[in-house]
Formats: sequence, C-alpha cells, structure tokens
Amino acid sequence: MQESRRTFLKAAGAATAAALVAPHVARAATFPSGPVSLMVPFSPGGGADRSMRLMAPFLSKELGVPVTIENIDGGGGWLGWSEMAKWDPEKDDHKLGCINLPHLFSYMDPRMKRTETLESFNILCWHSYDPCIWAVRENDERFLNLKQFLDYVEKNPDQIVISSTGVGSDDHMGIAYAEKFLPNFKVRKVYSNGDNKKIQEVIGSVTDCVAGNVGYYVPFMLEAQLRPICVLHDERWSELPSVPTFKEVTGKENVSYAGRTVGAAKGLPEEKNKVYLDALRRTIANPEYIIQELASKNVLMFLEGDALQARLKSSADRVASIKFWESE
Amino acid sequence: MPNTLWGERISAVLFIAGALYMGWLATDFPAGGDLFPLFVSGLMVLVAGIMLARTFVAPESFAAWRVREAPAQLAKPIAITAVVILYVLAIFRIGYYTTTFALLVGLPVAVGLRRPVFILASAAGATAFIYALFELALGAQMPRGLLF
Amino acid sequence: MDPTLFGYALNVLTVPNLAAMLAGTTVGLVIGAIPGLSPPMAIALLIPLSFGLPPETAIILMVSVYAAGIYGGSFSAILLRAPGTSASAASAIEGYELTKRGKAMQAIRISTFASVVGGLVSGVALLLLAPPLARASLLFGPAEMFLVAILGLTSIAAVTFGKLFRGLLAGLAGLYLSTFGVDNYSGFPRYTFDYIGFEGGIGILSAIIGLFAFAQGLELCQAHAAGTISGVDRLSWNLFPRLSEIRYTRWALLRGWITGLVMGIIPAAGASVAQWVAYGWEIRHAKPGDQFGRGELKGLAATEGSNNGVTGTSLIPLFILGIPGGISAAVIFGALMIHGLQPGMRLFRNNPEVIYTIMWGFLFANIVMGFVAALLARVMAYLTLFPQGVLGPMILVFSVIGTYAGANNIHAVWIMIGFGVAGYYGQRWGFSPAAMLLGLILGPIAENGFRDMMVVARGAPFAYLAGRPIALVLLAIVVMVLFYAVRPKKWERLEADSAVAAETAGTGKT
Repeated sequence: MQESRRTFLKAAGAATAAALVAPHVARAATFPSGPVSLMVPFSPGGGADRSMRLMAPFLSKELGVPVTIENIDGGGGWLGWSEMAKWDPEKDDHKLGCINLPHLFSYMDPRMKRTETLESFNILCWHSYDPCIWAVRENDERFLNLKQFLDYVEKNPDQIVISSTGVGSDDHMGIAYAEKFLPNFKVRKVYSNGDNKKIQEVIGSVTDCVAGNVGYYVPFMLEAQLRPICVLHDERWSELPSVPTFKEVTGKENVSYAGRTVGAAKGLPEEKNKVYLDALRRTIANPEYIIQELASKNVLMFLEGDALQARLKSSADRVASIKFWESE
Repeated sequence: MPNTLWGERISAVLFIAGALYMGWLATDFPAGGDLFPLFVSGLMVLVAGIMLARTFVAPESFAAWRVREAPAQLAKPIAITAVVILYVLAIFRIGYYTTTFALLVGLPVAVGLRRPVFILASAAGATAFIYALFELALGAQMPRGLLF
Repeated sequence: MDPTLFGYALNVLTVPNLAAMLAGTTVGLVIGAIPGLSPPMAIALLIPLSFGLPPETAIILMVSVYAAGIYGGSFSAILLRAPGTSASAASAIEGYELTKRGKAMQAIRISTFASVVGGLVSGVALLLLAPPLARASLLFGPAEMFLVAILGLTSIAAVTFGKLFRGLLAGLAGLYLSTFGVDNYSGFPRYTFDYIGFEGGIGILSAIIGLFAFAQGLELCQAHAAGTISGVDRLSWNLFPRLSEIRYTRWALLRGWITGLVMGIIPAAGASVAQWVAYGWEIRHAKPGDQFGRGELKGLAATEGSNNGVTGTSLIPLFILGIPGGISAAVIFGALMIHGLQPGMRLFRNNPEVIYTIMWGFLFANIVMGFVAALLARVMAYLTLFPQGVLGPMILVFSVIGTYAGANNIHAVWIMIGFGVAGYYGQRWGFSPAAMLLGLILGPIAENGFRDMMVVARGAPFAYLAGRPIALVLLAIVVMVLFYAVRPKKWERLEADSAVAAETAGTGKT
C-alpha cells in the first residue's frame, strides 16, 4: 500500500517542484535554460501521447531540464501544427513538437485550404516508424497470400471489402496507391477513426481484409486470428521476415507507414537545434527507453540530416502522386 | 422562440430556413457524405412544417402556454455569458488565478449576493482547489499572465 | 468453468491491491465528478506512475478508476445538474429534480445502490461469461450498430417531456452537429465554415458541459442569489438505501442493469448510450402518477444502474479478443501492453493468475467504491447548501477549466459556451438539451453504421439484413418501440402533458 502511494506522490511532487523551481534557477549560460514543453497534437492516451510521455523523462535527463507534455488536440492534429508553424524562434525556443507523418501531408489536400507546407516546419529528426500491412483472417481459405488475394479481387471486382482508417490516413494511402497503379484493383472500403473498429470488422467477418500497421496487428497474428499478406515497405520488415513486400508480388513500390518526427520552431538558431538534436539522438538510442517502447509495440527509428530530408521528400512525393483527395 | 403562439411560428420558420440552408451546403459533400445531412434536413422541414401547421389548425391549444418573461430577465444570461467570454480572454493576459479569483468574487456580487466573507472564502477555496487539482495532481500548466 | 477461479479471489486481498482499489476509486470518483476530467484521462495519466507496481496491481488501479469514474460523474449530475462525464448526463434530469425537491441524499442513496450492484453484476458477467459474450460482441457489424443507434434515437421522443416537436427539432439539430468536421469517407471537411475548431468534429465533451453545466451556471446566476438549490439547509446522514426505496425501484433497477450488461458488449456504444436507452425504456413504462421529468426515482435508478452495468461487460471484448470497445478500454489496453500483458486468449492461457486477479479486483473495487462514494457524496452534497449566487459562478468557472483541460484546446471552450447558451434557452423554451445531446452522440454511430452497411452489403442491403439474426431482432425492437411511441392514445396524453408542462415552465421560476 505504501509503495503505490509513495510512488504517486513522489512523481507528482517532483514534477511540481521542478516546474516551480526551474525557471528561477536559470542556468543563464546554458541552453535550454528552463523546462521544455513537448507538444503532442492529440489527446492524452493516444498512441502519439503514450510514446511521447514515455520519452519525456529520458529526454529530460539528456537536456538537464524538465520536459512537460502539452496536448493540443483537434483538427486531426492541425490545431497543434498550425500553432507550431507560427512558433517564434526566439520566444518559443523552449518548445518541441511531435509531427506525425503522413498526417502532416494532408496540407496538400486543396479542400482543407491550408497555408502551411513542409517548409513551414523545422523537423529535427525521425522518431518512430511503423509500416503498413494488409492482413486477412487466418481461417479465410479464399486467399493465403497477396498473389491469391489480388487474383481474387481481379476475378470478383467490387466484392472484396477492406477495413481502413479514414481517407488521407496511411492505411488508406496504401489502398489508394493500389487503386491508382494496379490495373484491375477494384475493392470496397469501410472507414474508421481507429483500429478497434477495423479489427472488430475483419475478425467478425464483416470485411475481408484490414489495412493497418505492424505494431497494432502483430499480436493478432500471434493469436492466430489474422494472417499478414503483405507489408507496404521498401524491403521486408525485420519483425515479419516471412511476409513479402507489396513490390515483391506486384512490381510496384507501394510504401506507406505511420511515422513520428520531432520538430522545433522554424528558424531556431543552429546551435539550439544541435542541443535538441544531440539530446534526441541519445534518448532514442537509450536501451531503457527502447525497451519501454517495444512493450507497447512501437519501433523507434532515428534519422537526421540528409537521410531525414530524403525520407521526407520521398514520402511527400508519394502522397502528391497518389492525390488521395481525388480518389472519391 | 418563447412559449407563445408566435414563438412557435417563428421557431418553425427559423428551423425550416436553417434546414434548407444546411441541406443546400450538403449538396457539395462527396462520397455519400451528403445523404445523412440531407435526410436530417428533410426530417427537420417535415417536423417544423407540422409544428407550423398546428399553430393554424389548433391555435387554441397554445392558449395554455402562458408566459411571463421580462426582456431584462431574458437578457441576463447573455450578459453573464459575455462576462465569461471576457474572463476567458483575460486569462491569457492577466493570468489564470488572478482572473478566476476576480470572477468568483465579482460575479456573486453582481448577481446580488451580499455576504462578503462567504464570497471571499469560497472564491479562495475554489481557486486553491483548482490549483491543487490541476496544477499539482494533474501537472497541467495554467496560463500565467502579468499577475499570477 | 475453471475450478481454480475462486482461488484467484484470494490473490486480490493483498495490501497493495486493496490500496490500489482505494486510491483508484477515490481518484475515479473525484475525476469523474468534475466536468471535463474523464476516466480515460485519469487512467492515461496514471500509466507512467504505475511502472513500479506489479502488473495486476497496476491494472486493478486502472479498472478501479474506470468503474468509479463512471459513477463519480453522477454526483455532480444529481447534485448540481452538471454531469461530470457523458455517462451520467441522463442522471442529471431526474437526479437534479430530486435535489431541487430536497431529496438529494435519497437520490444519492439509490444511485449508489444502483451503481454498486450494477458494477457487481457486470463484474460477475465478466468473470463467468466472458468467452461467450466476447463471441456475441463479434456479431455486431455495421447493420447492428445502425439499428442500435436508431434504438437510442427513439429515446429522443421520451426526453422531450411534452414539448414533442420542439424536442425533436433539438434532436435533429444535434444530428446536424454530429456531422461537422472531416468526413472519414472522403476526407472532406463538412460544415466547418472555415473554422479550425470544427475540423475535428464537435466534441461530446464541449456539448455535455455546455448544455448542462454551463447552462446550469447561467440558471443559478439568474435565480435568487441568497437562496439554495433545494431550499433546505440540512442534509440527512442516512447513506444506505431503505428497503422501501429499493422495492419501489426494483423493476427500474433490473431493466437498467440488463440494458447496461447488454450495451457493454456492443462495441462503441457504452455507458453514454446505455443510460438513454434505459431511461427511454423507463419512460415508456411510466404509470399514471409517475413524476418523470420532475424528479422520478425510477428514472434515476434505471440510468444509474445502466451506466455502471456497462463497466464490467465492456472489458470483455478487451480481455478476450484484445479489442477495446471504448476510449477507457483503449487506454486500459495501452496500460496492459506497457506492463507486458497482451490482451487476448493467450493472456488467459499464459497468465491466468494475472487476468483473473484483475477481474476479481474489479469486483471488489465496486464494493470499495460503494463506501468511498457514500462518504464523498455526503461531502459534495454540502455544495447544495451554498447560496446559488456563489454556486453559479463556480460552475461557470469549472465548465471553462474542465473543457480546456479535457479537450486541450481553446476552441472547445468557445464551442462549449455556445452550447451553454443554447442549453439555457433550450431548457427554458422546451428545445430539450438532452435530445440535442442524444442526436450528437448517436448521429455518427447511425451515419457510419448506415454507410458501412451499404458498402458491406455489396449492393443488396435487404438480403444482407435478412442474413443477420441480431439485426433482425434489433429491427423488431425498433419497430415495436416506434409503434408504441406513435399510438394515437399516446399522442393525446403527450398533448395533455404538454399543457401541464407549459404551465410549470411558463412561470419562468424554478
């Protein structure tokens, strides 16, 4: 009994003490000089929030100041991101933000009338990466692999139903790519806000196939409820070595993923960028942190510099080529 | 809008106009996104239409709807809402706790309560409770302005 | 049945586990009672703090927060008409009317009883019937969800209290509001009017706080400033329900519990739908002399029984299938994963002691909750002795901070204030705020269910429906309810009621 209460009080107390004291014990010469806020553009309890809350204490250790999570939820992330694009490099130099891809690329959808582009953000590094997969029911005899699935779709146009997250999401983008670049790929789609409804539909035989991410769906494969038929990645995914990529079967490179990056204020001086980047690099390589993330099936992937820019550009080009907003 | 024959008629007309406007906007929605709003529009026109017709067919049934609503009494909630909006805006200028305390003292006086000690004590208590719960227990950071 | 099942019960009775229940129920009741702060939020914030605890203790802590959070919302709903969570909005109607008549403690007593027993019944179902109920939950596809939503929407007529047409219009307005925001099926921003606050859709949180809590704040600021809500200046110390009260509400309780148990296993329905279905059921069973809308104990018993009846069974799809049915369950899902427990049948095979201990923990937590709740409610009831001139501003302040903390954006506060004004005048003029909330909650379930159904039916919706037995049963229930609702006799009575209701409302005093 003592233990639970003490842990709670200690944690709450520490956070408070830090928040109250830190601004005043300004270590003037050093940067950062006070608490750093990490903006998560979704509500507490979601995937991005869980991951960033796990990271905060480790990042805090590296930066030497408290890192607090600030949730700004709404507009599919854009409430937070449109603020982030307006951050002042001087006044808002103690702010970091989580940027989700491909969500951010929804600025390309002309119907949303966004003024921001990729250039409006100062993305420091890649944080985590979860490729898309397609999976069918383990006991579905009609198709055991992607080849058979595509053949079935070709023979029965407009009969197969795929569960996906809403239009513009990473899951939908993979399907939209297939619809656009495979000649005879005509399927029906039902959309959800999240994975719970999708998994309910496919396991309950309401739909035939589900488009999701490795992290969430691996457990259902281990439970022998779902069988992955392809991974939408440029090479086979280390966690699922026996699952072929979309390209291996069709010759078309269909890459889609849910990724997170961390950014700071646009125009932040190089030396401040470097402080954050060094701390993030060490945090994301911290084995203790990696283990905690693995427990929630989240694969960390650190990219910076040219590799980061190349990945951002190729992703942006792909979204621009799919033009998902024209698909309906 | 109030509970009178004419209130009933005006609300019916307003709802019909609103339903037509929303339905007109919905015709632009792609991928079947227009179906449900159009269905709601149709239902709303139907319900409001019956409501309107009833005021002509059976106006006597509204005789029982006696109303004593003074305009001043009706406007008071609007005034209070305006105060709350100013309060929210002031939070970001002046700071959360100062503003909240001021509202919790000022508004009871404004609505006619004359118990200064009780008002001050309850305002202080509520502000302290908010500080303890949101800032200490939940780790939220309230906006700080010029004052605390 | 597993003979060792009862053996696991003893595992619960360790000091850390009992402390977790006590802490969890207390946190849950307090968080639940404050509008805007919800059980999922409390659970999410507890996850990092629970790292040091053994897995079963950590999860017991979280399911305790969940069960108690659903109940805590009822305190503020009953005592102040400011429901703390969307699961207790329906209780605000009868519960607050009882408070106004000086029967606050009676309302608290019966709601505690309904909630605790509801939670226990639900916990027993979780312990004994989990696998078959999990399979049943898989039978709910788009067609079934559509019909569940329609069933819920039939309750709109029940909460119009005589002003049928105005109530229906409020409900329809709620349906419109539910379509605001980016459409999943096209990515198209519907009815956003170029305002970023509408893009993600209108939050239930803003609606519920505005329509009830904020409107109530305005109402109290309007009333006699020195007077109290109930006119009484003392509270009863009788915390346990009397036998006569239980006997009077027994069928309502039973119907509430059944509604809760069933709605719990339906994905995405949950407590916020169950309470309205139960309430609508109760009103349709009204007998002459019942005081629905003016403080009927049976109505409160049904809503309170149903929302806690949901808690246990809603964990079934999560534990057995690994599919969280609602937001709270999704957060508990995350917590299980972080503690290395992957929900699903493998968990029962590999770690039966952990999962059964958690289930027993849930059961015991409901009992602990009963005692903590009785005391906390007594403390909170003192608020009803405050002068309205102080209470009104306080509720307004808590509406603002609660919305801001719960939604994490300022636009939600503006939207909440908009709902507040609508709720105040709606209540005054008979455009039922409850009907509007129902439309807002059920709109997406109905619309998405319908659109999904048209897709998966592959162009033949009637043939599809004919092949789904649960859908047919639901359809039959909906038809029965609708038939009952539009019987001519019923209409005459509603009209007669409306004259009476108008008279009471028309005086403009409460």
